[in-house]
Amino acid sequence: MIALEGKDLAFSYIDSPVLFSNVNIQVKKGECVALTGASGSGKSTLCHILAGIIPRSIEGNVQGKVFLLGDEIQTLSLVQTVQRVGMLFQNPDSQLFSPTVEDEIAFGPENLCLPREEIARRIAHSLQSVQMSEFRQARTNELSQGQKQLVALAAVLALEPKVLIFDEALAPLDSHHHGLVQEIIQTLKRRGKVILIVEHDPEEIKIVDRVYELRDRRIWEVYK
Amino acid sequence: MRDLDPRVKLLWMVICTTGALVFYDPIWMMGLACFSLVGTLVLGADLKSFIARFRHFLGFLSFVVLLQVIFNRSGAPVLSINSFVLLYSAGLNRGIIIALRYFVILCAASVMVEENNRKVIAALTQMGIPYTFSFMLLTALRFLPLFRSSFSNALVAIQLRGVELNKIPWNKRLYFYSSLILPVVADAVVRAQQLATVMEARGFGALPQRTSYVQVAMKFKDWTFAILLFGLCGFAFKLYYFKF
Ligand SMILES: Nc1ncnc2c1ncn2[C@@H]1O[C@H](COP(=O)(O)OP(=O)(O)O)[C@@H](O)[C@H]1O
Ligand SMILES: [Mg+2]
Repeated sequence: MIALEGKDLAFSYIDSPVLFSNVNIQVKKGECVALTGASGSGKSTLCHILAGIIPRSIEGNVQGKVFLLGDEIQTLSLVQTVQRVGMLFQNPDSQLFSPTVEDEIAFGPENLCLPREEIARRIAHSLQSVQMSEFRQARTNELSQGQKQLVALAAVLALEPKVLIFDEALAPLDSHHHGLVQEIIQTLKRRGKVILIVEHDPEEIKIVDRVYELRDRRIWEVYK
Repeated sequence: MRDLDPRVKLLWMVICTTGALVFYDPIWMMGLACFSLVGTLVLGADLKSFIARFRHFLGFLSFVVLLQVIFNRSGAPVLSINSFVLLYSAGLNRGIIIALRYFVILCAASVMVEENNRKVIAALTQMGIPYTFSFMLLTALRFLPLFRSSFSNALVAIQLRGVELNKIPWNKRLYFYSSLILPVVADAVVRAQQLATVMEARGFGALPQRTSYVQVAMKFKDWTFAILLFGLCGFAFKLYYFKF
Protein backbone atom coordinates (compact mmCIF):
# COMPACT_ATOMS: atom_id res chain seq x y z
CA MET A 1 0.00 0.00 0.00
CA ILE A 2 1.19 3.51 -0.80
CA ALA A 3 1.64 5.69 2.28
CA LEU A 4 2.78 8.91 0.66
CA GLU A 5 2.22 9.90 -2.92
CA GLY A 6 2.79 13.01 -5.00
CA LYS A 7 0.86 12.85 -8.26
CA ASP A 8 1.64 15.06 -11.30
CA LEU A 9 3.03 17.78 -9.08
CA ALA A 10 4.14 21.08 -10.56
CA PHE A 11 5.23 24.04 -8.55
CA SER A 12 6.35 27.65 -8.72
CA TYR A 13 6.88 30.20 -5.98
CA ILE A 14 4.95 33.45 -6.36
CA ASP A 15 6.48 35.55 -9.15
CA SER A 16 9.09 32.88 -9.89
CA PRO A 17 9.57 30.46 -12.81
CA VAL A 18 8.40 26.85 -12.58
CA LEU A 19 10.67 24.94 -10.22
CA PHE A 20 9.57 21.46 -11.31
CA SER A 21 6.70 19.75 -13.09
CA ASN A 22 5.43 16.21 -13.86
CA VAL A 23 6.73 15.05 -10.51
CA ASN A 24 5.46 11.65 -9.40
CA ILE A 25 6.78 10.13 -6.21
CA GLN A 26 5.55 7.18 -4.16
CA VAL A 27 6.63 5.84 -0.82
CA LYS A 28 5.10 2.52 0.18
CA LYS A 29 4.42 1.22 3.67
CA GLY A 30 7.58 -0.09 5.29
CA GLU A 31 9.84 1.74 2.85
CA CYS A 32 12.68 4.17 3.35
CA VAL A 33 13.14 6.27 0.24
CA ALA A 34 15.84 8.84 -0.49
CA LEU A 35 15.54 12.05 -2.51
CA THR A 36 18.66 13.68 -3.93
CA GLY A 37 19.49 16.49 -6.31
CA ALA A 38 21.71 19.49 -6.64
CA SER A 39 21.38 22.38 -4.25
CA GLY A 40 18.50 24.58 -5.39
CA SER A 41 16.83 21.80 -7.40
CA GLY A 42 13.76 21.98 -5.18
CA LYS A 43 14.17 19.10 -2.72
CA SER A 44 13.08 21.09 0.30
CA THR A 45 10.22 22.58 -1.66
CA LEU A 46 8.98 19.12 -2.65
CA CYS A 47 9.20 17.98 1.00
CA HIS A 48 7.18 20.99 2.09
CA ILE A 49 4.50 20.15 -0.47
CA LEU A 50 4.40 16.50 0.61
CA ALA A 51 4.06 17.54 4.26
CA GLY A 52 1.34 20.08 3.47
CA ILE A 53 3.49 23.01 4.65
CA ILE A 54 3.16 24.43 1.14
CA PRO A 55 0.59 25.92 0.61
CA ARG A 56 -0.61 26.04 4.26
CA SER A 57 2.30 27.97 5.80
CA ILE A 58 4.33 29.00 2.75
CA GLU A 59 2.73 30.47 -0.36
CA GLY A 60 3.13 29.03 -3.85
CA ASN A 61 1.29 27.67 -6.87
CA VAL A 62 0.89 23.94 -6.44
CA GLN A 63 -0.62 21.78 -9.16
CA GLY A 64 -1.32 18.08 -8.80
CA LYS A 65 -2.26 16.14 -5.71
CA VAL A 66 -0.69 14.75 -2.57
CA PHE A 67 -2.11 11.61 -0.96
CA LEU A 68 -1.31 10.86 2.64
CA LEU A 69 -2.28 7.37 3.86
CA GLY A 70 -4.97 7.25 1.21
CA ASP A 71 -6.54 10.69 1.67
CA GLU A 72 -5.88 13.79 -0.33
CA ILE A 73 -3.93 16.16 1.90
CA GLN A 74 -6.15 19.16 1.07
CA THR A 75 -9.12 17.40 2.67
CA LEU A 76 -7.31 16.83 5.99
CA SER A 77 -7.39 19.27 8.89
CA LEU A 78 -4.14 20.51 10.45
CA VAL A 79 -4.72 18.21 13.43
CA GLN A 80 -5.10 15.20 11.12
CA THR A 81 -2.15 16.19 8.94
CA VAL A 82 0.41 16.58 11.73
CA GLN A 83 -0.58 13.19 13.13
CA ARG A 84 0.11 11.58 9.76
CA VAL A 85 3.27 13.32 8.60
CA GLY A 86 6.12 14.92 10.53
CA MET A 87 9.09 16.79 9.15
CA LEU A 88 12.58 17.37 10.44
CA PHE A 89 14.32 20.43 9.00
CA GLN A 90 17.98 21.02 8.34
CA ASN A 91 18.77 23.71 10.86
CA PRO A 92 18.42 22.48 14.47
CA ASP A 93 18.46 26.02 15.90
CA SER A 94 15.40 27.19 14.02
CA GLN A 95 13.41 24.16 15.19
CA LEU A 96 13.74 24.62 18.93
CA PHE A 97 11.90 27.51 20.54
CA SER A 98 11.03 26.28 24.03
CA PRO A 99 12.92 26.86 27.27
CA THR A 100 13.46 23.20 28.17
CA VAL A 101 13.58 19.87 26.34
CA GLU A 102 10.40 18.77 28.10
CA ASP A 103 8.54 21.94 27.00
CA GLU A 104 9.75 21.44 23.44
CA ILE A 105 8.44 17.90 23.19
CA ALA A 106 5.18 18.70 24.97
CA PHE A 107 4.47 21.48 22.45
CA GLY A 108 3.02 19.27 19.68
CA PRO A 109 0.79 17.07 21.87
CA GLU A 110 -0.39 20.21 23.71
CA ASN A 111 -1.60 21.60 20.38
CA LEU A 112 -3.60 18.40 19.84
CA CYS A 113 -5.32 19.05 23.18
CA LEU A 114 -4.28 15.66 24.53
CA PRO A 115 -4.74 14.96 28.26
CA ARG A 116 -1.67 15.68 30.42
CA GLU A 117 -1.10 12.02 31.32
CA GLU A 118 -0.93 11.13 27.63
CA ILE A 119 1.49 14.00 27.03
CA ALA A 120 3.71 12.74 29.86
CA ARG A 121 3.71 9.27 28.29
CA ARG A 122 4.64 10.66 24.89
CA ILE A 123 7.46 12.81 26.27
CA ALA A 124 9.01 9.82 28.02
CA HIS A 125 8.54 7.56 25.02
CA SER A 126 9.89 9.88 22.35
CA LEU A 127 12.89 10.87 24.48
CA GLN A 128 13.64 7.19 24.89
CA SER A 129 13.44 6.67 21.12
CA VAL A 130 16.20 9.23 20.55
CA GLN A 131 18.22 8.14 23.62
CA MET A 132 17.93 11.53 25.30
CA SER A 133 15.92 10.60 28.41
CA GLU A 134 18.45 12.08 30.82
CA PHE A 135 18.13 15.49 29.12
CA ARG A 136 14.44 15.92 29.88
CA GLN A 137 14.92 18.95 32.14
CA ALA A 138 17.88 20.43 30.20
CA ARG A 139 17.66 23.90 28.67
CA THR A 140 17.43 23.68 24.89
CA ASN A 141 19.91 26.50 24.25
CA GLU A 142 22.60 24.64 26.18
CA LEU A 143 22.55 21.55 23.94
CA SER A 144 25.03 20.72 21.16
CA GLN A 145 23.90 20.78 17.52
CA GLY A 146 23.58 16.99 17.48
CA GLN A 147 21.57 16.90 20.70
CA LYS A 148 19.33 19.68 19.40
CA GLN A 149 18.55 17.69 16.27
CA LEU A 150 17.71 14.65 18.42
CA VAL A 151 15.34 16.77 20.50
CA ALA A 152 13.75 18.16 17.35
CA LEU A 153 13.22 14.58 16.17
CA ALA A 154 11.70 13.63 19.53
CA ALA A 155 9.38 16.63 19.28
CA VAL A 156 8.15 15.38 15.90
CA LEU A 157 7.84 11.78 17.13
CA ALA A 158 5.64 12.96 20.02
CA LEU A 159 2.93 13.66 17.46
CA GLU A 160 3.22 9.97 16.46
CA PRO A 161 3.10 10.53 12.69
CA LYS A 162 3.19 7.49 10.43
CA VAL A 163 5.28 9.26 7.77
CA LEU A 164 8.57 11.00 8.58
CA ILE A 165 10.39 13.38 6.26
CA PHE A 166 14.03 14.25 6.96
CA ASP A 167 15.16 17.30 4.97
CA GLU A 168 18.97 17.08 5.06
CA ALA A 169 18.57 16.69 8.78
CA LEU A 170 21.77 14.67 9.05
CA ALA A 171 24.00 17.12 7.18
CA PRO A 172 24.88 19.42 10.10
CA LEU A 173 25.69 16.53 12.47
CA ASP A 174 29.09 15.31 13.65
CA SER A 175 29.98 11.71 12.82
CA HIS A 176 28.83 10.37 16.21
CA HIS A 177 25.35 11.87 15.90
CA HIS A 178 25.23 11.06 12.19
CA GLY A 179 25.62 7.38 13.05
CA LEU A 180 23.22 7.60 15.97
CA VAL A 181 20.45 9.21 13.90
CA GLN A 182 20.90 6.56 11.20
CA GLU A 183 20.48 3.86 13.84
CA ILE A 184 17.38 5.60 15.14
CA ILE A 185 15.93 5.88 11.63
CA GLN A 186 16.53 2.16 11.16
CA THR A 187 14.69 1.37 14.38
CA LEU A 188 11.82 3.67 13.40
CA LYS A 189 11.56 1.90 10.05
CA ARG A 190 11.42 -1.47 11.79
CA ARG A 191 8.63 -0.11 13.97
CA GLY A 192 6.61 0.61 10.84
CA LYS A 193 7.35 4.27 10.12
CA VAL A 194 7.44 5.34 6.49
CA ILE A 195 10.53 7.43 5.76
CA LEU A 196 11.50 9.93 3.07
CA ILE A 197 15.01 11.22 3.50
CA VAL A 198 16.67 14.04 1.58
CA GLU A 199 20.44 13.66 1.26
CA HIS A 200 23.12 14.95 -1.06
CA ASP A 201 24.82 11.58 -1.02
CA PRO A 202 22.31 8.75 -0.47
CA GLU A 203 25.16 6.24 -0.49
CA GLU A 204 25.83 7.46 3.03
CA ILE A 205 22.51 6.17 4.22
CA LYS A 206 22.70 2.41 4.17
CA ILE A 207 19.06 1.71 4.83
CA VAL A 208 17.37 3.32 1.82
CA ASP A 209 15.34 1.05 -0.44
CA ARG A 210 14.99 3.33 -3.45
CA VAL A 211 16.37 6.68 -4.60
CA TYR A 212 14.70 9.53 -6.46
CA GLU A 213 16.61 12.41 -8.01
CA LEU A 214 15.41 15.90 -8.87
CA ARG A 215 17.20 17.05 -12.03
CA ASP A 216 16.28 19.34 -14.93
CA ARG A 217 12.95 20.22 -13.32
CA ARG A 218 11.86 16.58 -13.36
CA ILE A 219 12.06 13.67 -10.97
CA TRP A 220 13.88 10.45 -11.88
CA GLU A 221 14.04 7.17 -10.11
CA VAL A 222 17.65 6.12 -9.77
CA TYR A 223 18.39 2.46 -9.44
CA LYS A 224 20.94 1.50 -6.86
CA MET B 1 12.01 32.49 45.75
CA ARG B 2 12.85 31.68 42.14
CA ASP B 3 9.92 29.30 41.93
CA LEU B 4 7.34 31.95 42.87
CA ASP B 5 4.26 31.94 40.68
CA PRO B 6 4.81 33.96 37.48
CA ARG B 7 1.73 36.03 38.32
CA VAL B 8 3.41 37.25 41.51
CA LYS B 9 6.52 38.12 39.51
CA LEU B 10 4.34 39.98 37.02
CA LEU B 11 2.72 41.89 39.88
CA TRP B 12 6.14 42.82 41.23
CA MET B 13 7.19 43.95 37.77
CA VAL B 14 4.09 46.09 37.28
CA ILE B 15 4.57 47.73 40.69
CA CYS B 16 8.24 48.53 40.02
CA THR B 17 7.63 49.98 36.57
CA THR B 18 4.62 52.00 37.74
CA GLY B 19 6.73 53.41 40.55
CA ALA B 20 9.48 54.23 38.07
CA LEU B 21 7.06 56.22 35.94
CA VAL B 22 5.26 57.93 38.83
CA PHE B 23 8.03 58.96 41.23
CA TYR B 24 9.57 62.33 40.55
CA ASP B 25 11.91 62.65 43.46
CA PRO B 26 15.53 61.43 43.41
CA ILE B 27 15.38 60.04 46.96
CA TRP B 28 12.28 57.97 46.24
CA MET B 29 13.75 56.84 42.94
CA MET B 30 16.90 55.64 44.70
CA GLY B 31 14.78 53.73 47.18
CA LEU B 32 12.84 52.15 44.35
CA ALA B 33 16.03 51.29 42.47
CA CYS B 34 17.42 49.47 45.54
CA PHE B 35 14.11 47.69 46.02
CA SER B 36 14.07 46.61 42.36
CA LEU B 37 17.67 45.44 42.37
CA VAL B 38 17.13 43.32 45.48
CA GLY B 39 13.87 42.02 44.00
CA THR B 40 15.55 41.12 40.72
CA LEU B 41 18.21 39.07 42.44
CA VAL B 42 15.80 37.46 44.89
CA LEU B 43 13.24 36.58 42.21
CA GLY B 44 15.73 34.76 40.10
CA ALA B 45 17.66 36.92 37.64
CA ASP B 46 21.16 35.58 37.19
CA LEU B 47 23.64 38.16 38.54
CA LYS B 48 26.22 37.58 35.81
CA SER B 49 23.82 37.98 32.89
CA PHE B 50 22.19 40.93 34.65
CA ILE B 51 25.54 42.71 34.81
CA ALA B 52 26.21 41.84 31.15
CA ARG B 53 22.83 43.27 30.16
CA PHE B 54 23.46 46.36 32.26
CA ARG B 55 26.82 46.96 30.58
CA HIS B 56 25.26 46.72 27.14
CA PHE B 57 22.75 49.27 28.29
CA LEU B 58 25.22 51.69 29.84
CA GLY B 59 26.08 53.57 26.63
CA PHE B 60 22.47 54.37 25.88
CA LEU B 61 21.87 55.34 29.49
CA SER B 62 24.79 57.77 29.62
CA PHE B 63 23.64 59.35 26.38
CA VAL B 64 20.12 59.96 27.67
CA VAL B 65 21.36 61.31 30.99
CA LEU B 66 23.86 63.60 29.27
CA LEU B 67 21.08 65.06 27.14
CA GLN B 68 19.02 65.80 30.23
CA VAL B 69 21.90 67.29 32.15
CA ILE B 70 23.06 69.51 29.31
CA PHE B 71 19.76 70.78 28.00
CA ASN B 72 17.83 71.21 31.22
CA ARG B 73 19.01 74.68 32.22
CA SER B 74 17.01 75.68 35.27
CA GLY B 75 17.50 75.70 39.03
CA ALA B 76 20.66 76.64 40.88
CA PRO B 77 24.04 76.36 39.15
CA VAL B 78 25.97 73.31 40.41
CA LEU B 79 29.09 73.33 38.30
CA SER B 80 30.52 76.17 36.27
CA ILE B 81 33.72 77.02 34.44
CA ASN B 82 34.51 80.72 34.76
CA SER B 83 31.07 82.23 34.21
CA PHE B 84 29.70 79.45 31.99
CA VAL B 85 27.36 77.15 33.91
CA LEU B 86 27.83 73.51 32.92
CA LEU B 87 25.36 71.95 35.27
CA TYR B 88 22.14 73.13 36.89
CA SER B 89 20.45 71.44 39.83
CA ALA B 90 17.21 70.70 37.96
CA GLY B 91 19.18 69.11 35.11
CA LEU B 92 21.14 66.99 37.55
CA ASN B 93 17.97 65.90 39.34
CA ARG B 94 16.30 65.01 36.11
CA GLY B 95 19.37 63.11 34.89
CA ILE B 96 19.42 61.03 38.07
CA ILE B 97 15.68 60.31 37.86
CA ILE B 98 15.85 59.24 34.22
CA ALA B 99 18.88 57.02 34.82
CA LEU B 100 17.22 55.30 37.76
CA ARG B 101 13.94 54.97 35.88
CA TYR B 102 15.61 52.98 33.11
CA PHE B 103 17.53 50.99 35.68
CA VAL B 104 14.32 49.97 37.46
CA ILE B 105 12.69 48.96 34.16
CA LEU B 106 15.78 46.93 33.29
CA CYS B 107 15.60 45.16 36.67
CA ALA B 108 11.93 44.38 36.21
CA ALA B 109 12.43 43.09 32.66
CA SER B 110 15.36 40.90 33.73
CA VAL B 111 13.13 38.81 35.95
CA MET B 112 10.71 38.06 33.13
CA VAL B 113 13.51 37.30 30.68
CA GLU B 114 14.89 34.61 32.95
CA GLU B 115 11.49 33.15 33.70
CA ASN B 116 10.48 29.95 31.92
CA ASN B 117 8.05 31.32 29.35
CA ARG B 118 5.89 28.18 29.38
CA LYS B 119 5.05 28.94 33.00
CA VAL B 120 4.17 32.50 32.06
CA ILE B 121 1.99 31.26 29.21
CA ALA B 122 0.33 28.73 31.53
CA ALA B 123 -0.34 31.53 34.03
CA LEU B 124 -1.73 33.88 31.39
CA THR B 125 -3.90 31.12 29.93
CA GLN B 126 -5.28 30.33 33.37
CA MET B 127 -6.14 34.02 33.65
CA GLY B 128 -8.28 33.64 30.53
CA ILE B 129 -5.94 35.18 27.93
CA PRO B 130 -6.02 33.36 24.55
CA TYR B 131 -2.94 31.16 24.08
CA THR B 132 -2.13 32.51 20.60
CA PHE B 133 -1.84 36.00 22.08
CA SER B 134 0.45 34.90 24.91
CA PHE B 135 2.73 33.02 22.51
CA MET B 136 2.83 36.01 20.18
CA LEU B 137 3.75 38.37 23.01
CA LEU B 138 6.52 36.19 24.42
CA THR B 139 7.90 35.35 20.99
CA ALA B 140 8.09 39.04 20.17
CA LEU B 141 10.04 39.63 23.39
CA ARG B 142 12.39 36.79 22.49
CA PHE B 143 13.03 38.40 19.11
CA LEU B 144 14.27 41.72 20.52
CA PRO B 145 17.80 40.61 21.51
CA LEU B 146 17.97 38.94 18.11
CA PHE B 147 17.77 42.33 16.45
CA ARG B 148 20.82 43.45 18.34
CA SER B 149 22.85 40.37 17.44
CA SER B 150 21.95 40.47 13.75
CA PHE B 151 22.75 44.17 13.72
CA SER B 152 26.23 43.54 15.08
CA ASN B 153 26.65 40.58 12.69
CA ALA B 154 25.86 42.86 9.77
CA LEU B 155 28.29 45.43 11.17
CA VAL B 156 31.06 42.83 11.37
CA ALA B 157 30.29 41.73 7.81
CA ILE B 158 30.71 45.30 6.58
CA GLN B 159 33.95 45.71 8.48
CA LEU B 160 35.25 42.43 7.08
CA ARG B 161 34.81 43.90 3.62
CA GLY B 162 37.40 46.45 4.53
CA VAL B 163 35.29 49.37 5.66
CA GLU B 164 36.90 50.83 8.73
CA LEU B 165 34.03 52.50 10.45
CA ASN B 166 36.01 54.53 12.93
CA LYS B 167 37.91 56.23 10.10
CA ILE B 168 34.71 57.43 8.47
CA PRO B 169 33.27 60.82 9.44
CA TRP B 170 30.24 60.46 11.67
CA ASN B 171 27.65 61.74 9.15
CA LYS B 172 28.74 59.11 6.60
CA ARG B 173 28.84 56.54 9.36
CA LEU B 174 25.20 57.29 10.03
CA TYR B 175 24.50 56.43 6.42
CA PHE B 176 26.16 53.04 6.91
CA TYR B 177 24.11 52.31 10.00
CA SER B 178 20.88 53.17 8.22
CA SER B 179 21.81 50.89 5.30
CA LEU B 180 22.11 48.07 7.85
CA ILE B 181 18.57 48.40 9.13
CA LEU B 182 16.87 46.92 6.09
CA PRO B 183 18.88 43.65 6.04
CA VAL B 184 18.44 43.31 9.80
CA VAL B 185 14.68 43.61 9.51
CA ALA B 186 14.67 41.26 6.50
CA ASP B 187 16.66 38.75 8.53
CA ALA B 188 14.17 38.96 11.39
CA VAL B 189 11.26 38.48 9.00
CA VAL B 190 12.87 35.34 7.56
CA ARG B 191 13.45 33.94 11.03
CA ALA B 192 9.91 34.74 12.08
CA GLN B 193 8.59 33.00 8.97
CA GLN B 194 10.76 29.94 9.73
CA LEU B 195 9.54 29.86 13.30
CA ALA B 196 5.92 30.09 12.22
CA THR B 197 6.45 27.23 9.75
CA VAL B 198 8.06 24.99 12.35
CA MET B 199 5.38 25.74 14.93
CA GLU B 200 2.57 25.11 12.48
CA ALA B 201 4.19 21.86 11.32
CA ARG B 202 3.73 20.71 14.91
CA GLY B 203 0.09 21.67 15.00
CA PHE B 204 0.19 25.15 16.56
CA GLY B 205 -3.10 26.98 16.14
CA ALA B 206 -4.98 23.88 14.98
CA LEU B 207 -7.58 24.02 17.75
CA PRO B 208 -9.15 26.90 19.67
CA GLN B 209 -7.97 25.37 22.95
CA ARG B 210 -4.71 23.74 23.87
CA THR B 211 -3.51 21.70 26.82
CA SER B 212 -0.83 23.17 29.02
CA TYR B 213 1.47 20.43 30.24
CA VAL B 214 3.00 22.87 32.72
CA GLN B 215 0.54 23.90 35.42
CA VAL B 216 0.96 26.77 37.82
CA ALA B 217 -0.92 27.21 41.07
CA MET B 218 -0.74 29.99 43.67
CA LYS B 219 0.69 28.46 46.84
CA PHE B 220 0.75 29.87 50.38
CA LYS B 221 4.14 31.46 49.71
CA ASP B 222 2.80 33.17 46.57
CA TRP B 223 -0.25 34.61 48.32
CA THR B 224 1.89 35.87 51.22
CA PHE B 225 4.30 37.55 48.85
CA ALA B 226 1.52 39.06 46.76
CA ILE B 227 -0.27 40.50 49.82
CA LEU B 228 3.01 41.87 51.19
CA LEU B 229 3.68 43.53 47.84
CA PHE B 230 0.21 45.07 47.73
CA GLY B 231 0.58 46.36 51.29
CA LEU B 232 4.01 47.83 50.67
CA CYS B 233 2.85 49.40 47.45
CA GLY B 234 -0.21 51.02 49.05
CA PHE B 235 1.88 52.31 51.94
CA ALA B 236 4.55 53.76 49.63
CA PHE B 237 2.07 55.54 47.36
CA LYS B 238 0.22 56.99 50.32
CA LEU B 239 3.45 58.25 51.82
CA TYR B 240 4.54 59.69 48.49
CA TYR B 241 1.32 61.56 47.73
CA PHE B 242 0.01 62.51 51.19
CA LYS B 243 3.30 62.65 53.15
CA PHE B 244 2.06 60.81 56.25
N1 LIG C 1 10.00 30.82 0.09
C1 LIG C 1 10.58 30.91 -1.13
N2 LIG C 1 10.19 31.88 -1.99
C2 LIG C 1 10.76 31.98 -3.21
N3 LIG C 1 11.72 31.17 -3.67
C3 LIG C 1 12.16 30.18 -2.86
C4 LIG C 1 11.61 30.00 -1.56
N4 LIG C 1 12.24 28.95 -0.97
C5 LIG C 1 13.13 28.50 -1.89
N5 LIG C 1 13.10 29.22 -3.01
C6 LIG C 1 13.91 28.99 -4.24
O1 LIG C 1 13.49 27.77 -4.82
C7 LIG C 1 14.63 27.03 -5.29
C8 LIG C 1 14.63 25.64 -4.66
O2 LIG C 1 14.91 25.74 -3.31
P1 LIG C 1 14.93 24.47 -2.35
O3 LIG C 1 13.63 23.75 -2.47
O4 LIG C 1 15.30 24.93 -0.99
O5 LIG C 1 16.09 23.57 -2.99
P2 LIG C 1 17.01 22.45 -2.32
O6 LIG C 1 16.39 22.03 -1.03
O7 LIG C 1 17.06 21.36 -3.33
O8 LIG C 1 18.36 23.06 -2.14
C9 LIG C 1 15.84 27.86 -4.94
O9 LIG C 1 16.25 28.55 -6.11
C10 LIG C 1 15.37 28.82 -3.91
O10 LIG C 1 16.04 30.05 -4.01
MG1 LIG D 1 17.06 22.12 0.98
